[in-house]
Amino acid sequence: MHRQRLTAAVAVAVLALGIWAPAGAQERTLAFALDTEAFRRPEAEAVADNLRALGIQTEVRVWERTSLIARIQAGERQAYLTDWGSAFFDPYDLAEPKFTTGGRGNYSFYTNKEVDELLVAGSTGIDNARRRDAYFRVQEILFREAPWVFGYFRQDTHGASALVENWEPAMDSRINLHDVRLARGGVVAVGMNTNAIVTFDPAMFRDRKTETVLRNIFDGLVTRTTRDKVVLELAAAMRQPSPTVYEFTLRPGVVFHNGDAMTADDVVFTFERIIKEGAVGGQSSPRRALLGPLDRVERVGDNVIRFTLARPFPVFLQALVHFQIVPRRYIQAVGDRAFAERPVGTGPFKYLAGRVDSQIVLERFEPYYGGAPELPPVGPASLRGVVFRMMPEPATRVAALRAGEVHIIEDVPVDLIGELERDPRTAVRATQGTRVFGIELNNARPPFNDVKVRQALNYAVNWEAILRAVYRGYATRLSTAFLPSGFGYNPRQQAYPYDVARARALLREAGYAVR
Amino acid sequence: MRAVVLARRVLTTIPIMFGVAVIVFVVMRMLPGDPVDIILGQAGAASQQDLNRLRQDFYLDRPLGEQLLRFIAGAARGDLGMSFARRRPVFAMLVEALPATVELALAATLIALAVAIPVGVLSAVYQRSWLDRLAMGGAFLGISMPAFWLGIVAIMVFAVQLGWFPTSGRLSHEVLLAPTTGFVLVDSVLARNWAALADGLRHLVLPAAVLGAGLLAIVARVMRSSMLEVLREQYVTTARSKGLAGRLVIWRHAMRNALIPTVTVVGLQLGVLLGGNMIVETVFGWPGMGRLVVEAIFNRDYPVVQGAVMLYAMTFVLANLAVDLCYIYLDPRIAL
Repeated sequence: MHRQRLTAAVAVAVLALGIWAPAGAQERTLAFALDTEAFRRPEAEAVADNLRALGIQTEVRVWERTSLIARIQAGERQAYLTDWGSAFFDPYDLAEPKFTTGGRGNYSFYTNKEVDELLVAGSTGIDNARRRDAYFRVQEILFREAPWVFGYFRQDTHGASALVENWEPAMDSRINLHDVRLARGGVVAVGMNTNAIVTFDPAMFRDRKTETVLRNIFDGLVTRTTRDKVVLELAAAMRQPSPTVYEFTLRPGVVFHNGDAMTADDVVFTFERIIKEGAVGGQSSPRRALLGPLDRVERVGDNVIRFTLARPFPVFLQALVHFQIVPRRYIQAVGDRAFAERPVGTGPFKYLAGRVDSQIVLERFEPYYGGAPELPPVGPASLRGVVFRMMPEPATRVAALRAGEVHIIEDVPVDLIGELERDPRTAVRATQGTRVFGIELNNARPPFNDVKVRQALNYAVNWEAILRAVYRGYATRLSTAFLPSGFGYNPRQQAYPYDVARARALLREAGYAVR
Repeated sequence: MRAVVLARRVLTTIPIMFGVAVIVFVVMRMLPGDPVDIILGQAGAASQQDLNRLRQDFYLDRPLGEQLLRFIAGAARGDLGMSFARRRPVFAMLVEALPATVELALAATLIALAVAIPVGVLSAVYQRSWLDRLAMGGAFLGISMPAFWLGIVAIMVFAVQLGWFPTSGRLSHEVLLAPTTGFVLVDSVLARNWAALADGLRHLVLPAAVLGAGLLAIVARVMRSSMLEVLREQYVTTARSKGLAGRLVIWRHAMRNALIPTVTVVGLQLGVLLGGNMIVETVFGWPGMGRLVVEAIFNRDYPVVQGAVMLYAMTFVLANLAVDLCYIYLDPRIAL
């Protein structure tokens, strides 16, 4: 009994000393751990240097991604370098998961009732002006409350051989090869930045690398330009009789690679596989939520499909870009698993051979209907074939491009860009990325439950210098976590300036010692 | 008698495999991270409903005990379950990745032994000569150089500058070869597709040499030291004094005994190589076990990791058995 009391007393004394001893009087030292993955370590160290200059004790720690995220989600971390991708060019799949109370990606544990309501208004409204206003207001609030140390977005940098014509990288990072020509030879080889794509089944993946390959085998009702505009592809016409109903008329004469004609039944089947539970050989598609409030899909005429939503969903067309039409009869005949091994679509190239983890060989589909009329050239692909090679090591991708083995490579790291720029046979092609990078702060715990501390940190980081030094200009500062390429971005919203004096003042107000 | 001993050795693998299965099952689930959250990625929208549907698909909503029983019962029938990420049977994925790794490991071992054994023997015979110093210096370098660096340098020199070999992959896309066994060299011989055989060999040289470099260095050093020891044995002196030719004494009498420690080392290293080398496989875009397993660990793809580790355990057990059988051949005094 005595012993327990003694232990408790010692523990209390140690804790008290730990908190108060270094500060002496009223002022405490701000100290925290900044957690990152290995690939952003140089950036984290540079940020920590900025903070240490103000007397903030910042320790950089490096983790494996999954372990770090698990700890973040458990609320056990203080400040962390994270990123989040958006594919819809809209805050629906960016600000909403990141800032809604309890959102799947809300690693900062940020909560604000008004923001919650505004985000719902933004993603369900039917009046675009009102939606925009709602998002402008969210940006104002986020800026003021500074749940993160707001960061930047990057340029996606790809490499291409000088032989490649009529290709520019797409902002949604798909590589569409239908329009590409080659000055010599008819087969383009693409070096992919991945160990393996996930599958050949368009219902069973969530990552962009898989989509890059599948989008050349399968077409959708709609597609997208290399920027953000949605255009008709397999659909010949679209009308929206009410805010929750969309009707598509199919283009006639489209055939699948196995010769079957594409019908409205294939479209209905495609979407039912995704929205119904256990509809893919007894398993469920991970893509359900990307369709938002889609309630049912039905055939309403020979060639007409109606989508009915439970509530208005203004990004529905942007979402449809990411859904590819699959052949009902073929899948029902061979089964879902066999389909995932030997895909059959309506796209410009058909599967010839290969495995998801090595190389995938596609050949031109001669009876191709031509693709989106708004994206010339229209007609069968100019290339005879396409090869996707999985090359996870960036130095190998660059070497293969320089050796002429591949013609396009994904994701050239900044330190290898010079090598491609110096070589007259290769070039670097860049486009705006759609991932937001930042430093999220745990708003639910001290010290970052204090808005003054969060704001101080935003003033204390010299992003311009860091982005220049670490990413050599291939990154652009963001005012909050909204992307300029997305709907509702406020270009007038200024980012926090680098202002050490204001950072010091805010830290003092919050009761911390500063240097 | 030997057959009985052999059968007993094989039977003991069963409890080993069971233990491995339980340990890897538990360890994987102790790692932080949610496989379902990883599939949905750090991007886009997802609902709680999505998460729940996937958990159900993977039986992650069931109690741990039930999951373990399901796994053990399946494994006993040869069913290793489905990959969470790729939704394919784990067994099929291993069967696809294993030949690539085995082919590379055997080629690396072959290159290593073909160079290391003569070098080791000659270094011992001409001890302290320039040849010995050069060889042992080279071996030291071989052990010290990281495979990653060596691989990139090999690609830059032999693929980009000289253009002798391709940078990566197992086969050029122009060469179509239907997989039968999964071994490119075997398949191309079976199909009598000599173009594919030549192409496959060209792709194999650089990664095999890089992967074999470490083993080469170790074997050369081990071979040299055991050869030095054997050359001082009395039976070698006897053989020499009988008037046998020097070459015969060295390559026949001495080397055979000096090979025993080498076999031990090669056996152990071969077990390691068969596990797949993630670094060499990544640098050379080689679709083998190393990449598969490391990716599965990062994705918390439990069934794939479980299946692969069981396969590794099996490989080690069998490699050890093979080594023991080699001893018997080399030295009849040794019994199992």
